[in-house]
Amino acid sequence: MVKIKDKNLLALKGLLGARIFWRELFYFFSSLMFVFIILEIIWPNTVLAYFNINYLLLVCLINAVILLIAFDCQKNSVK
Amino acid sequence: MFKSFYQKWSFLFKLRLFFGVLLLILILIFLYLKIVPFGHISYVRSYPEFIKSGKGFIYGFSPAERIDLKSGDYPKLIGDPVYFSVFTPRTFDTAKLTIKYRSHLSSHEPIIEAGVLADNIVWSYDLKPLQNKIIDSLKTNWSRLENGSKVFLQRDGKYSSWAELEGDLNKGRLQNCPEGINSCLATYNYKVPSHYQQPNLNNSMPLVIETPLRGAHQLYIYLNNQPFHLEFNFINLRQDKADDPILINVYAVNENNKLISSKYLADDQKKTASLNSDSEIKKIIIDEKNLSNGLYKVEIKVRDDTVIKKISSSVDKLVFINKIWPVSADMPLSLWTDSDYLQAKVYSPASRQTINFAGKDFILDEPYKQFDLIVDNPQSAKEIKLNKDDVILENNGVFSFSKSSLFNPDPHKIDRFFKIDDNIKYIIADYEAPLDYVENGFKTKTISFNTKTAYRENSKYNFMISIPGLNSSASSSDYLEIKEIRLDFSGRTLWQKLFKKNI
Repeated sequence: MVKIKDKNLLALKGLLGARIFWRELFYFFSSLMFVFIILEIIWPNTVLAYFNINYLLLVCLINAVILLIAFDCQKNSVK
Repeated sequence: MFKSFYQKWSFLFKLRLFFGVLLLILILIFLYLKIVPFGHISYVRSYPEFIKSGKGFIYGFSPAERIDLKSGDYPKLIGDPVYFSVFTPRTFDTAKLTIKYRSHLSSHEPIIEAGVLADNIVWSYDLKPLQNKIIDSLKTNWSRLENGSKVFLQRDGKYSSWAELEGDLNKGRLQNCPEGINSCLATYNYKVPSHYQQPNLNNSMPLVIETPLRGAHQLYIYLNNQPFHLEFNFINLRQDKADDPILINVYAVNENNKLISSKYLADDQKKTASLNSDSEIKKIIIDEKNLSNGLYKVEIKVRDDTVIKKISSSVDKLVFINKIWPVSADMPLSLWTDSDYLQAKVYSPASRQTINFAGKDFILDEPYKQFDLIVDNPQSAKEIKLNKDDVILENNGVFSFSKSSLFNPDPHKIDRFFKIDDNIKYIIADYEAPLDYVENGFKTKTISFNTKTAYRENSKYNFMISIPGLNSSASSSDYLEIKEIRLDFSGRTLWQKLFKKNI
């Protein structure tokens, strides 16, 4: 019988391992970047005063790399 | 019911819903920080700074040569004055500035002040006191009365209540002051009601000043049985492309500074030839009939690109307050002042010279540098002889072009040159000493500003920290360390703005 704690860990592992999660996360970061840039164009310094958008760009790129490399390798290995 | 509905959603839908809600929350947070719907927000900048996630709201100090950022954990202010700006996403009505600082200043720098840029034409700051060591030391020796932030120090303890003091001040007198309150009272950040009367006055004669004066100036005029008539001729140097409007305000000082007249002339952006050309002279005439005898203050608000070519006045009791800047004048030029000191700044290399002040020679050999000229002369009127023009002269007194015109209706002002003598029996100030912070000799002080009328450019308010006497030369080891700057802004709420209600 699988314990509840192990079940949650397995679910989380499954989630993080799921290509769908990383893909949706990439869409989220891209949308966030788009919204922040629009806010900055309309009202300069609205976002930049609190948060450097370059960090978000970096996270977005890392996410894209994970999506491309990790899951592309996985796809190729399955083949 | 919701649970069964929720269980029908696909994993993808739930994930997208989660990210969508998170995105919406983040947008609402930034919109909240932009609009500030409840009207209150605070911005803080602390030192040392380890990690900065964003640009921040309080921008760094300038000019760079007056700041030392490298030695020590905290920025050191080594020159005067120092500026910083604060970005705000919207306008606010009031700002409370709290500064935590540690002083390594000597007795030559007894005063620390901070202010917000109030007027961008004359570039004046609304300065408020952070620390005044002269008043702090006198508080321990002299008897004092306090009323909120106002403090009254008296050598002999003649007054026992604030009401009694205010009663006498409103009548223009003080006990044990037979020669008038100006002879025995010193003020700091406090405007005493004026009841100035010029003693032993003959009828005034008209006065024409043909020495061109550059930039903003303020005048006192004493009217005595004469009509109030002033004519100003202006010329624009056009050394920069900015607009140069002209604004002249006239106030009745003895009537609580009531505004009597205001004249405005917009800049028509025409090119002008030279200072000697008559083709582009702008004229403003102020003619007020039926004004009562007494003291009037005239504010000429122009930028440094504008020169007052000529002043014609119906009265000769006319003095310039705190500053005079003669340019393109016939040399040599003679001026008079009532103050014991002069701050002189040579505006161009060609104007370097030896200046004679109260019979003593002073060499002004460096342009753009402020020289402090101090004399120990008991005479009330001191002559200034200039060989070349384009020298900015400033002090806490008044200037005039003749000895007979010279008068000063203000009481003594406490500044870094202030010396207590036996004549000074009373001091009145709007000042509270800074509080000692718990850590390592730091002090903290909060001052409030009205930012409704403050100048704001590119969404920024400009602030200044002034430490008169502090200079960034190699010989000086004095400095002021800043640990934290905090600004608490208050303004209209979103509802007040939407329904146009005033606070």
